[in-house]
Amino acid sequence: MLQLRDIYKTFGGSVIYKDFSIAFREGVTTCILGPSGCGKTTLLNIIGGLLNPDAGTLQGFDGKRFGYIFQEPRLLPWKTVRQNIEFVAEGKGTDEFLQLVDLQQSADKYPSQLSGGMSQRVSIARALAVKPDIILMDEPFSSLDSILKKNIIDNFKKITETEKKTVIYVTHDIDEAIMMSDDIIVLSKSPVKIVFEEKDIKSLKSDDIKRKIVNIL
Amino acid sequence: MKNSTKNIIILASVAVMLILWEVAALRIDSEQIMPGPAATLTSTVGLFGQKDFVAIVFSTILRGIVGFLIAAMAGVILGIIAGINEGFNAFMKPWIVVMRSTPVVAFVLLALIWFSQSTAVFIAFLTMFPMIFTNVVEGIHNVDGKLLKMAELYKVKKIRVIKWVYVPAIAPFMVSGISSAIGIGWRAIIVGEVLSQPRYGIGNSMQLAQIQMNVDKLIAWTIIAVLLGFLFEKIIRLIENVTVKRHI
Ligand SMILES: Nc1ncnc2c1ncn2[C@@H]1O[C@H](COP(=O)(O)OP(=O)(O)OP(=O)(O)O)[C@@H](O)[C@H]1O
Ligand SMILES: [Mg+2]
Repeated sequence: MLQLRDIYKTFGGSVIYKDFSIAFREGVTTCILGPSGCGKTTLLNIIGGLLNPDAGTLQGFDGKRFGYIFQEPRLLPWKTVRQNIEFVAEGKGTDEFLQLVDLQQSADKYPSQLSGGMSQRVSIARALAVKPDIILMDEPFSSLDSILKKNIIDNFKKITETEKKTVIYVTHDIDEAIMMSDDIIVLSKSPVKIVFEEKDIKSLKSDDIKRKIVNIL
Repeated sequence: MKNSTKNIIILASVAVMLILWEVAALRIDSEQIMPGPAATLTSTVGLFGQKDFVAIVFSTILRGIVGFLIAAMAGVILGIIAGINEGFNAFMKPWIVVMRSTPVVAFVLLALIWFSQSTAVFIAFLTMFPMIFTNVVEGIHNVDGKLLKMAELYKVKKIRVIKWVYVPAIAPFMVSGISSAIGIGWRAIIVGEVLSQPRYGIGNSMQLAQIQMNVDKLIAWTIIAVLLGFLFEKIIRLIENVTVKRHI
């Protein structure tokens, strides 16, 4: 179990998290849903160690290797697609991961020559290339068209399921969440509360889950 | 616009310049006061044959290089510190403002009293340092914090982050700082030479020509100075093209 306990986080005057606790099962995909601006990116940043909470503790994350598909692609503009992956995954073989997101043709292109969706796919390949234990994802598929999205999600699921990766996945899209996840957590606006939580949704009817979530949101 | 069209316009502009000059020379009709382009060209070429020509030009260039190296070294090192440390940046601010807004000639006059011989180097430093410093600081502030966070998450080694993130982000600012610094510094050195009168220098050769009422020679030296300035600019651009690849 990965845990955050009694997290407290403010920005300037506004309290985003107050006495907030959350737990994630390891080796599965947990989706986090919640209204825009509630604090989902902030939560991922705290988990990834990029942001320190004002108070509270994290458990189970020590020594874990992270991959993070940020809300924007965050590529080095002066390096090619391949070099962008090599930047974080030195000598780990980039081609395999480029293939996974269908970008082997664009390996020597620069980010300025890519579309938004292509950049996001580079970011996905980069996150997988470091062979992470935990993958943080912040609406990673939002700029992909539906066919491409399905392909990439399928490829992605194959890897995360066979390699038993822990995935913490933020999205706005309920259908995407149900398709992607094993567990679902729905958050409310600040200070953030967990308003809905369901483990192992694969064993349940997805229509029922959807109805429950829609009712809450 | 096509490049060939642009080049034709540039050539036409130079032609107009030369024609206006020739017309003015014809109207004034005195080689002494306003020599025409042809006479000036002859004296410019003649300068190359002058016995101290190489010594004069190289003395000025050497002053420029020494001043530039000191300015660049101080500008880059202090610029990096100020870029990282806000307190140090605040400390540097008044110094930079004073250096940037004081007229060059005021520095020259003071430097004459304080340094006499190395005035031109001192002037070169004072004009170039603030430009390089300011650009380095700006370059560092311009490094994308989100890229740094990304590198932090992936635990990329510091040295690699410097090479792959910081250097490419700062380089364009550094090049533009250096290039404007050289433009301004080069002119300031020549002013410094006029007043400090070192043994050899383009500045004092100009002044000598002025005292002797050799207007053609004065303009000829000016042309040499402009050509050298232009050459430095080209060299910097060349270095920029080789080192700073732009894909943004
Ligand atoms: N660095 C920051 N400084 C100040 N306020 C911040 C900062 N980062 C986030 N916030 C605020 O904290 C709140 C939560 O932000 P966060 O980015 O975590 O929301 P989010 O749930 O990811 O939203 P979205 O779904 O739109 O991406 C917002 O109100 C935001 O304005
Ligand atoms: Mg967000």
